[in-house]
Amino acid sequence: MTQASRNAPLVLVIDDEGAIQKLLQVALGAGGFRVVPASSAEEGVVAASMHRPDLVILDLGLPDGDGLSVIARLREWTKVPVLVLSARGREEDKVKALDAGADDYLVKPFGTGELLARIRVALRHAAQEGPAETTQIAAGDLLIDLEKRLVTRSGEEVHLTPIEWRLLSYLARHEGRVLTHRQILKEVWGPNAIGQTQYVRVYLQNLRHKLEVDPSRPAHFLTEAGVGYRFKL
Amino acid sequence: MTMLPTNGASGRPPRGRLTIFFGMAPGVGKTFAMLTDARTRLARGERIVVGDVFTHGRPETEALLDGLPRLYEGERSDVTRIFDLDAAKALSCDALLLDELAYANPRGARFKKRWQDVDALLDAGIHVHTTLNVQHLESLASIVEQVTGVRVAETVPDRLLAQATSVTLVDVTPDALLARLAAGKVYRRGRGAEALASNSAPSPASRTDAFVENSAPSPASRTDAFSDPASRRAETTASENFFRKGNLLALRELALRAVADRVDADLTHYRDLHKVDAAWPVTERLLVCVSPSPHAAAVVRAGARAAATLRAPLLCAFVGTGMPLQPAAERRLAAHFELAERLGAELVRLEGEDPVDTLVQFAQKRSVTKILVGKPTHSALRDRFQPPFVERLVRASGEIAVWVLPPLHLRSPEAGGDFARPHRSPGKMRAARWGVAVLVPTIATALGKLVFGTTERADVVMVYLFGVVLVALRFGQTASLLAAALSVLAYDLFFVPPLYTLAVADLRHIVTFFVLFFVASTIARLVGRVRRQKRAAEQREAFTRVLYDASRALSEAADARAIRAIAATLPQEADVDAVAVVTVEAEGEEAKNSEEIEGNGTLLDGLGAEAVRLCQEERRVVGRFTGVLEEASVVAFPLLAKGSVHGALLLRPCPGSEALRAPSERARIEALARLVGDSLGRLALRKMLARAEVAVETEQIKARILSSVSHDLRTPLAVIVGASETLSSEDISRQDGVVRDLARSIGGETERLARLVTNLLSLTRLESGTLDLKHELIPLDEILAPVLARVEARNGGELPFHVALEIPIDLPLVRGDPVLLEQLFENLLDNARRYAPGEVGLHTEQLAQGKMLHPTLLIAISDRGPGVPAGRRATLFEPLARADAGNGGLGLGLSICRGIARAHGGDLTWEDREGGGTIFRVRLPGAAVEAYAEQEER
Repeated sequence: MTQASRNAPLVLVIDDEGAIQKLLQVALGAGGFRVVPASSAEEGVVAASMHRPDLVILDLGLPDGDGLSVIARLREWTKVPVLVLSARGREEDKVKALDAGADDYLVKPFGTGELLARIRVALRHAAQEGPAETTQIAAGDLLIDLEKRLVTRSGEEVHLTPIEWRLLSYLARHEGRVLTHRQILKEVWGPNAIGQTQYVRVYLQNLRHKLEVDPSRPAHFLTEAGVGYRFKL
Repeated sequence: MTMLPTNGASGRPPRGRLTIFFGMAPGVGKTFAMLTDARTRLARGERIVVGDVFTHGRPETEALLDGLPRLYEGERSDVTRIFDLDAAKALSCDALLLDELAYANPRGARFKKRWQDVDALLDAGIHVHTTLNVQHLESLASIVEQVTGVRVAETVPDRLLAQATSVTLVDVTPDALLARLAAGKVYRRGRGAEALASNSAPSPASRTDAFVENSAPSPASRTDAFSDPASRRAETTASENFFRKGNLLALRELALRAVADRVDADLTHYRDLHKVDAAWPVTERLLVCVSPSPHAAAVVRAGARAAATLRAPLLCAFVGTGMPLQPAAERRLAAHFELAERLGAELVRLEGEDPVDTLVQFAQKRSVTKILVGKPTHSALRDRFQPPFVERLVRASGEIAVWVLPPLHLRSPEAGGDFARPHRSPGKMRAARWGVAVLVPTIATALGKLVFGTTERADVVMVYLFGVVLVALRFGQTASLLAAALSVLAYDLFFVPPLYTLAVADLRHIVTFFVLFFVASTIARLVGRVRRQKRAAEQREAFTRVLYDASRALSEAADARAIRAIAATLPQEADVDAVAVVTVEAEGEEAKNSEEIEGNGTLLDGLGAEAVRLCQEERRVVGRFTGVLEEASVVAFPLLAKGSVHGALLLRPCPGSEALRAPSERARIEALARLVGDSLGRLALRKMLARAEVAVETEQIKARILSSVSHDLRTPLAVIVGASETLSSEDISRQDGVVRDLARSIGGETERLARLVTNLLSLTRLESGTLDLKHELIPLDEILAPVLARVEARNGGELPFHVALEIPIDLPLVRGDPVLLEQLFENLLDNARRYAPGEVGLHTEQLAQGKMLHPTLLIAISDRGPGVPAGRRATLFEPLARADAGNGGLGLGLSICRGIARAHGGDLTWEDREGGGTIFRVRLPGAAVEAYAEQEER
């Protein structure tokens, strides 16, 4: 069905909507991926263990159980990237999915370009899970040196507080991926700060003022309303 | 007492038919006849169920009972069994057999008396067959007692006999009955009298030999003569007395006459029904005048019989003088009233200074033709001082006939009981009273001696009178009468010559003595009466104040919980130790709520819950002292409003307290309960109105959405369908530009649809109030940046207008839901994009008010568009009102924006901009940044 080569990345699509399945098969095939469809949670979990996909696209509203349980069952044995599809207005569901181990999410209706970009980011991060970690990240006129713990904007060093630095490095190491408030709080402030979402907001605001060209029209530190933040290169 | 056809209104089933097997005495074969009849009916195919039958061990009767379907399991006949009323109510049968209408239920049953069960069953539409002896008829009880010398404890209201669809007289001659009795066919042992006297379940102690008809009384009714084992001999004698031929002849005559009267009533009813005599004129109206005297019951019964014979309506009145009755008298009066009500009388309680005038005025007003009163029982001496009541009544009543009935010579222990005893106050008070009665004349004497000597005797008399008045004012009538007597004595001893003897020299002084005593005692009596009236007035006034305070407090109560709290405090003075208030939110709703004080949650357990249910169902007071659910520890008052029940008020009397037994006390609580019920009714009404208003509004919104939805959804759909068909058709010249244009218009219209759907969903959530708002603290630019990015993307990568965004660095955070706030600003900016392309200003500032803790953010979005058109100025924020119908979008946007702002505790307003255009101002709650600055670890 797909014209992708045999060693092209394999994507498992778990969605009960025939129309979405069809669209994704066409779009992903055109994007150079092989596709395995599954129309229920049960079928999806079985297909994942049989085909060992490189990435899973999961619809949260499945007929035979909620997508969260699929994530949990997958995470018992695999780190395969999971991209969640959900309807707008159900922010809690997205956050729960991300906190449960999903890697990213897309809101229906979504554009195929955006979908392919997200898949590539997720696959890249999955490949990087190994020891070789980049020490320098460049984003526009920003250069972040994770080893030396310094950041320059147009060649000039920008002074950051320790928390600002920890926040920046965490976001930058996961560039392109959405990070929930909870994940950020846990990583940067520690488990006791969970729930204090305004910390993240205030410090992110500081980072924007220090690092963005136009803080009110950020190019790198993007907000995902009600969910978290995404660092874009 | 004419038979009234039952009214089938209010959705209840038509009242069941009652069939009575009626006899003159135990042993005539009523149960036998009832069972024989039942077997015949069963053979005819009717559905017969035996509810409860007593066979008294008679083998013939037991044989008849076998083979009939029974409601109960176990023994054929068991006097300790509690009849299952609810199971019977649920039956569907042609006849339910329930022996002994005059039976007193065992403890634990819902009603004290079987006839109440039967009444309830008839109300539920069940047809009942039962048996009854003539001596148990209420109106004949005193006659039977007079004739046979046996007191009848259990009586049945006459109306049941009158209401019965069919009455079958089971008759044998006295000789035959006596022969049957002698042959041991009626009783196994000679226990007939007991059967006659009482009809109740046995106490455990006497159960072994209680194998007699109607059995022994329960401990509760042990006031009857023949219950305790010590008086067995008396029983036997009484039994022999009862079954004397003379008695039986009299009872037979009574029974025959009762049935004959009923036949007569049937005839009248027939005539009424068939309009033989179109309007039966009510020519007579009887008024029975009762007093708290134990003799009054006989007057009531006589009145009821007379009314039945004359087919006249019966009124029963008590005339009070405005003074409270003593508790015992109040109880007896209540018993008389209860009796009168059972006999079908209308009850009236009159109050007036002069009983005769009050009574006659009332009688004239109600066109009474005959007044029945009891003969006076007090000594003739009293009449010397007061004109006798009966005599005055006879004189004042004019056209109205007055029947004076003799007192019955009752053998009951109740007669002449505590009625005659004067009300005594505690010992100390009594001693003080007598002391003062002696002391005051002594002081008066000393004063008289010192001031006036023995010559100014007229002045001395005044001093004595003064003393008597003082005593009367403070210590009551008796004490002041004593003081008056002592004053006369002292005056004689110390002032009238010869001094220090009782002898009187001048006979004219005798006149002075009489005058002194007469004036003193008259003053004493008058002052005493004024005191009593004052006390009564004070009590009434106090209660009026309670009512007034309660009604004011209740009118301020905003919800059921507040009303419950107030209601629970109301019955403080009723001698109760625990109160519970149960309210039903609205009729039909199950969500009950209760407030309980001092009851540790036990008031509503078991019988309490049953009382709550029953008092609401029956809409009357039930529980202790009321005859229904007598075993309950509480008295339950229904909370009634006009035509609906809103809950119950439960009172638990203090241990040993009998205060709530008095109907006057219960009436007070009932008045309070009605007040509470009214408040709850008002509340329910208000809720209903509010709900109706919301429903109407929701309907209007729905209608508007429906009317616009078709147009606004179809336009983008048409574009999408058209474009995709064009794309998939073969003929289209596959030029890159055309394909891309078509694909873009599909994308654009789809996005428009998606936004429409989002707005519709938000509107629904906002309108239905199911929006669960998050309260997060967010920097404003974090909300605005993604919005601007989306507007930009939608417009092909660049903003359709130049945005002047000014956000001060120290602007407080917004407190709210990030997703909803994004929607708010997206709608507003999209609005500006569509209607006012060009320059759009975004200004933010912090309002001065509440700067520190709860600052308010003001965001102004100003455009240079055409402004709000005249036709929309008033309805700009109404859903689906739109500036330009041809420009796409449902016009939901602004309405949702305002909804979101208000849901956050803010607002959205608009005004014309100077120099053209519009300014939208969003106010949102904020939180100061400073509060989080300390988190910085530098």
